Amino acid sequence: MATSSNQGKIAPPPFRRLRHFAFDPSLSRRIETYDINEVIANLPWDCSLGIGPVDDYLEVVDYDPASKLFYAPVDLNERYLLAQDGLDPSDSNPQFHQQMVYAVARTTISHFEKAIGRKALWAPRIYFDASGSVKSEYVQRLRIYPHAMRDANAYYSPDKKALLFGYFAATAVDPEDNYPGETVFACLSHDIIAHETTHALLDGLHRHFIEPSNLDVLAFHEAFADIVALFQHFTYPQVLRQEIARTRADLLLQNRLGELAYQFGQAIGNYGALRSAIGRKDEKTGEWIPEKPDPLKIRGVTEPHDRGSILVAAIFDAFTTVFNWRVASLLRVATGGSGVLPAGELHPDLVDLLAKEAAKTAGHVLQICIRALDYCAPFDINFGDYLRALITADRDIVTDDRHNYRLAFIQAFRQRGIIPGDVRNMSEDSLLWEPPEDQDAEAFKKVFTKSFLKKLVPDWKITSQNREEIYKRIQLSQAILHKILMEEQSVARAMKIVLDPAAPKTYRRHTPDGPPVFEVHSIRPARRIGPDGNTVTDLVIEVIQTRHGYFDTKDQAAADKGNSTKAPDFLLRGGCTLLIEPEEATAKYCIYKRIDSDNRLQRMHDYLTGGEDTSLRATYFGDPCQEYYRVRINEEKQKKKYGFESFAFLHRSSSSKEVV
Amino acid sequence: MPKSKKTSPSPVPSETKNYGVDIRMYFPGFGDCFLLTFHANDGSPRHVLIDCGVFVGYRGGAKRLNLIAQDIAKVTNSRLHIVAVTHEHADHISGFVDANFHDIQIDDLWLAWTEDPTDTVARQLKAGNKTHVEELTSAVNLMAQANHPSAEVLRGMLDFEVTSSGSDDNKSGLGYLKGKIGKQLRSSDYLRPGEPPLSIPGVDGVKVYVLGPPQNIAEIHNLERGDIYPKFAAFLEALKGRSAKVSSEDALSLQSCCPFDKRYGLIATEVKNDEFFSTKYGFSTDAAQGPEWRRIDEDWLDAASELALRIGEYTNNTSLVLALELPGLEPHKVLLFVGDAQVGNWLSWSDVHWDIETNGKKETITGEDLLRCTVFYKTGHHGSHNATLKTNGLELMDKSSLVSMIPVDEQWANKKAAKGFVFPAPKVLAGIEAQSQNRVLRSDKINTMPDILEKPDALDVSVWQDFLKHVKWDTNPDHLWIQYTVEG
Repeated sequence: MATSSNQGKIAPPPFRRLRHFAFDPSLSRRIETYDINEVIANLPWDCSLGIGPVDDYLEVVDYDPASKLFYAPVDLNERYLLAQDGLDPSDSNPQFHQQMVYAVARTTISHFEKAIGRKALWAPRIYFDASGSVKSEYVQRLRIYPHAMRDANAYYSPDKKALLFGYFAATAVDPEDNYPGETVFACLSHDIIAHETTHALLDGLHRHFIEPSNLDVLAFHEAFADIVALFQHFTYPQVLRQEIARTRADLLLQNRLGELAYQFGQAIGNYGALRSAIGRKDEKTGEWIPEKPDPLKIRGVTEPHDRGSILVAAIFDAFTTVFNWRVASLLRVATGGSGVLPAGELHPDLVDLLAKEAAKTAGHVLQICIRALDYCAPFDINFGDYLRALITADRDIVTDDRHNYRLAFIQAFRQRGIIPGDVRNMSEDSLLWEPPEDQDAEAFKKVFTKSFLKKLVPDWKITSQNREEIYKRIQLSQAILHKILMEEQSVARAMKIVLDPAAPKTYRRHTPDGPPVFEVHSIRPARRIGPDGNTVTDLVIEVIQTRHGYFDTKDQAAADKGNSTKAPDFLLRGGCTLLIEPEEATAKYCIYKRIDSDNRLQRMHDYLTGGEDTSLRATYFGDPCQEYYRVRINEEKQKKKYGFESFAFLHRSSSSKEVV
Repeated sequence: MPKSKKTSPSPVPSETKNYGVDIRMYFPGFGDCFLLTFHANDGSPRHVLIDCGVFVGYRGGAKRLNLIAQDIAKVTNSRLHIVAVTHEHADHISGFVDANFHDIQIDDLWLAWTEDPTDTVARQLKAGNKTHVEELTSAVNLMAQANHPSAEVLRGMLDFEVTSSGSDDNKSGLGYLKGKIGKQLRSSDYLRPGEPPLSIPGVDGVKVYVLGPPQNIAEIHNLERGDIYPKFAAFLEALKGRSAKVSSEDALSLQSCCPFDKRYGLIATEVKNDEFFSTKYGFSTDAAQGPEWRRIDEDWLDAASELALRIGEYTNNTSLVLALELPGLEPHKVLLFVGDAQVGNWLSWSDVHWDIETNGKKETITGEDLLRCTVFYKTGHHGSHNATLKTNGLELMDKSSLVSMIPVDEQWANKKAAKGFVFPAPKVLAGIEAQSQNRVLRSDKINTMPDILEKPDALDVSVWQDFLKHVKWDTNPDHLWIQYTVEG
């Protein structure tokens, strides 16, 4: 249609702006927090965004099965909505709920992709087809059900590849925020959305991180989801500004941030990893008291949320330490060199600068935490390994630690008693993952030549935007590498894969007398951009083997010899994550856990049988960790999936304990 | 907690003979039934029955209870001086029916304050609980129709709850007992923790301390009177909406619990042909429809499991907890009957204390003192995960002489639902075995007595011999009971 204007062609905007609650609706009702409770998310402009919202990554489907009602999908391309950054924040309009879950989840995905330097993929759907063989299917979009249940819960369902959010009637606990009987929506809490989206992203990256193989695994999933939610929150300067403005000479700046983190935790209730490890409110005075780190505490804490909160606290300590260093000069300038803040209000410009600095630091910490995931073995994570991954990943991208991030991390972890079992001391050099031994390095060099790497990853620039193509390419590369590893057994050995047909019969294999099987679990190129604009490219390769474990040592011995038809009680994984630098074609790190380690088998056995779950839930529903394996093993046997919602379980098991 | 001094021995009145007590654990199946026989000064027996029930639907359970009642009648010469009922779960009370107790005289009834119909808190909590059990039952029916994986487990859990035969009904359970004793229980007759110790008529010196249920039980469970689980209100409303019995008036009020104004909601028939909802969510197995594996039609029902656990845990925590102290012994000997008390109930005992005056001497006895003197422990809740407090409970008990009885049926429990209920929990059992140096008597091992009574390697022969001297069991084919005698 011809127009009268001489307007030229307009380029698409860089961002789509969408409004959402910074916290949750309850803060909008308090006078003092009313004006900080609305933020605008800048999401990458995506032409494909349709009603729902549905885009390339997410699909919001608003069905409320308890009410048997569907809520019409929001159309964010409606021009009036485009002109006003989406719908007004409101708890009474389901379309706004759809907008908010979409905006926050999409923001989390963006943070994730920036850190890992590639497109995020959801975990594939694993299912059994009519003939009973295992299939895996690409899942393009994570589904979000904003009103899935009437329950004070929200969870990621690994089987449905969906986030389910609940709603419930508020109790009279805090009449200041909610009146009794008022409906509280999980899908309107920024932190809950970010937390659940992170569970899904982490599952997409490391499918085996939901397997409870040691005390830290489930705690890590919870802690990591909380870390992302917390620091994503801190990347909004306007959220921090008010809290920083309250700072006075007698109050430390970092305590203000700690209190804010604590408030987030309170808003989530007992749902997320508790942030009590950061500090607590004095019941009488209402003063916030930071918790002194106790290196011995971690030894006695086993419940996943409580244990996870120790990791969250350590990361938060590192954040405040770096922040203090970064703003020290700023504070000296602002205070005539004393560094001591005066009584009375702070200068608004100073508040602004401090808030921006805090937000920037939070963004860095968030990136460091996510990036480290590529430096972990693909299963059996523990906090100590995660520290080594953090330090190594950061060192790879920022050679000189001029803002002392790594020092801060190491100090914070040490103070919380998180010490990797396999390092001599807690210095940066000791914590870095070691490069492969000479003999292994030779083997890797032989196979991972530049031309072979080119074959595995034809597109090093990672220009393709089509995630399904990326997924298919990875599948193809996995098959290629699998074949090579079968031929070049020296490389397989270097990757700690056991191919000896004489290995115990409990190693998974195709035929009883054949060699154990292994899976090339993932091949992913990563292109990360450092703070100085430098690019670090890596190829991340993961291989996994599986061994059957039994609670009864006699069963184990019999099955190892092939004299048992009993179904196993658990699955031990072994294998490695191999990082290869493509320019020089050198293997940088091989982060492995051995399948043939009897110690590992014993430790896992002891962990699963010495379970500490003392809730009444365990009496009727079984120990959740043992139950996980029982269901998985049964599924394989019966060749059909039946639901076991690990995360629904995890979130609930803590709530049923509030009695104790 | 301040450590209180060990109580000093009360002088024994010279005319008192120390008869001790026989503890007979019956095996009705999965359930509790304990007969305690004390002796009056003249040597004549005094009988206390604690609980009598079996899990509803336990095969042959009712018949066994009848045989047990016959045995009770025989042993007691058809007269029970006291019947104590710990809490209103079927596996503790289902045996109290006329067919069993018609010919047995019951002099007195001991019930916890949570059964007092004149206590406002107790009444409201009980009524709320009962309503929720009924509502839950309809949830479980819905879940079963949808083949929900938790349906079977929940049905099993709900079978513990007593729905039809509550206190209002006088044909069974508490109602039956109240009618039978021939006197009206006054509010002060219901037992509260910390009140002066009870005695057993005619038996000098035996003191019965009430440790639980705690007076602040509502607080422990975050319950609100009237509507005891407000967090589940919206969930339960939805369930009501599903039941066919809703009148049109109710249907109107149900709309008010929907989260949004009614102009926002669309029902399935309105969206069935809508492109967005049919291709995304899907309404049939047609390939063009949204994939079935991602649908969430039944997932919301899972909130029922949380509610069922809370209800079960609450009722267990209303358990009457009795510590029976035998007279004139040093060290003191206490028998501990905890019903099915869960951890919340146990934790409250540290706040309970008594100021006792014996022969002009005052002393303070605490809940912890009683635990320290415990030589007999009736294992709580059939040995489940959450019903034997470890450090401040079991491990305080008198290790040198502790004996424990566990009323349980492990084989039966392991067959409940798809993968079994965990009774007893292995770790709890191991803890009890360690603390009692393996002097553990399980009701479900009655068929294999005396094979199970093999001396543990670590234990001294004389200690074991002494223990065996005090144990006997029913050698008749019905294998009704195992008995242990605590010497006076």
